[in-house]
Amino acid sequence: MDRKNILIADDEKDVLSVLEKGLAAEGYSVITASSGNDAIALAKSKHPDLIILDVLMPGMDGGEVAGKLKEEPETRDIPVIFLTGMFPERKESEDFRMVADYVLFDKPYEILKLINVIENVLLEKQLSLE
Amino acid sequence: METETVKKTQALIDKDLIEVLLVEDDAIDRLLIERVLTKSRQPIDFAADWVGSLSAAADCLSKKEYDVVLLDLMLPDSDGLETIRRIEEVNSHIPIVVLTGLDDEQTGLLAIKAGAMDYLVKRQVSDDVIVRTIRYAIERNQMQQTLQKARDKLEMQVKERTRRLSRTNELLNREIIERKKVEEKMKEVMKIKSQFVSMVSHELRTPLTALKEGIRLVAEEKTGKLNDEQKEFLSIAKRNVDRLARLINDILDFQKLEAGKMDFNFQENDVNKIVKDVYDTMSPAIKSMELDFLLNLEDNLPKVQFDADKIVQVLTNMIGNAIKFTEKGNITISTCKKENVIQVSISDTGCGIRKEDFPRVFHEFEQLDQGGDRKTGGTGLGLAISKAIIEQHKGKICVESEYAKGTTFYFVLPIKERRSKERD
Repeated sequence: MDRKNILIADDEKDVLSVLEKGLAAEGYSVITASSGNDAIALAKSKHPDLIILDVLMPGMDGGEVAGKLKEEPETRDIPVIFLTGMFPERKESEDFRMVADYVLFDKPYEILKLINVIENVLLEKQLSLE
Repeated sequence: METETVKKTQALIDKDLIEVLLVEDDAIDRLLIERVLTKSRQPIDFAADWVGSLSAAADCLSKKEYDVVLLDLMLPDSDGLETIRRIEEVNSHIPIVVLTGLDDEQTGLLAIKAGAMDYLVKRQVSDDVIVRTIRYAIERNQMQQTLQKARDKLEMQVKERTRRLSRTNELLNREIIERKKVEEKMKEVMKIKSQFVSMVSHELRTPLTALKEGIRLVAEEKTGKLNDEQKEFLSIAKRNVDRLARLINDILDFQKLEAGKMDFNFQENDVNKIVKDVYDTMSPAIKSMELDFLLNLEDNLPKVQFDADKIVQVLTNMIGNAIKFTEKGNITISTCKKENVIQVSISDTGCGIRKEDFPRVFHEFEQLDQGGDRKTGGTGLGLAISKAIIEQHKGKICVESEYAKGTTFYFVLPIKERRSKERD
């Protein structure tokens, strides 16, 4: 089975490192970006299967990055998961929520739940393509 | 001359026909007066109604508007000054001219005191005198009425103003009470918030201690050998646990400062020594980032009163900020004496702060978007805490910066000896 490619963007290097390791350990191939601009560039050049964006980043934040990705035909269809420490009106035991086309995932994340969501998003994308 | 006076009077009276009510029970006196009035050579006409008793006079006054009453005080149904009072009861604003007998001028004067406008001595009245007396009576009465009206109006205004003032007063009092209530409530809320924050922060520290110690034991290989990757992830864990501990400390500090509960240990201290200590502590970290760390200290600074630990905290915070936002170049700490303060400044060659952001720098929970990479996140409390600490020392903290060129934060501490000398 081919390894899925995931791009992660977070300005906090420590978070980036542990997330990279956590996802790699589960068998994904991981590309990292430490800013919104890097994320867009890498999304264009590497065509990842999925992008995980930190919402709060200096310069271009996660929301802006997602907007820019939607504008480009080559990156438009890549699903995006947002990671955020400021989950609006989060209900108890709610780890993620759909906001428009996007998944909003609560920080700090539990890696198994995050992977569950990643798998679902990838599956949905595959089904929509078939 | 006289015509002129008359004209003026006429203009004041503003009437061509003066309506007179003559109250006189003596037929001869009545005829004499009527004749004087009707034969008057003056340019004003008089119309006189005659009655012979007070009751008839009252009746007339209630039916018709007269300009003046000529009143004999000795009537069949009334006698003396009482008669004036009784006319006034019927009509309080009509001018009264009292008719007195030849031998009775005293009564005329008393009548004026009792409210009459003037008096005429019967059988001695020429038409000039009577006309002038009547006119003056009317005129004086009008002036009195106008004055009275003005006085009434003024009184009304004063009353109205007093009423409004007392109403405003009442509203103000009510507002003061309301405010006091709100203030009480705010105090209560602040107290609860303060208790909550300190309770939560302390509670957070307990699990943090276990975390920190657990990480340390594994990282220092007390539990077995580690490979490089394991060490790396443990150092990430340690770094972030430390960061969390700093955050909690910041929140606690800020809470204490806000509640005025932070204790200060003011001692006579040497600023340069404290700066050197901080320099030595932070030097390795700064040099490892390939930044120059420079000292520029003025010799023989007078000692000042300050809490060494708190000033170290301020310096550490400021240097920490400088490190965060400086990619290359240097960080310099300078000290100098200026008038009656000692100034400490920390300059960097970092990304600088935009002028419009200056006012926000010292606000709690503010983090300026520097556009670059945040090397370490913070609470945005560091500078707010520093500011509060310096203010507790009766000093000042400021920032100067040129965008993209660098920033200087400086604070001043007052020199005490100087101050007391100046006072002497």
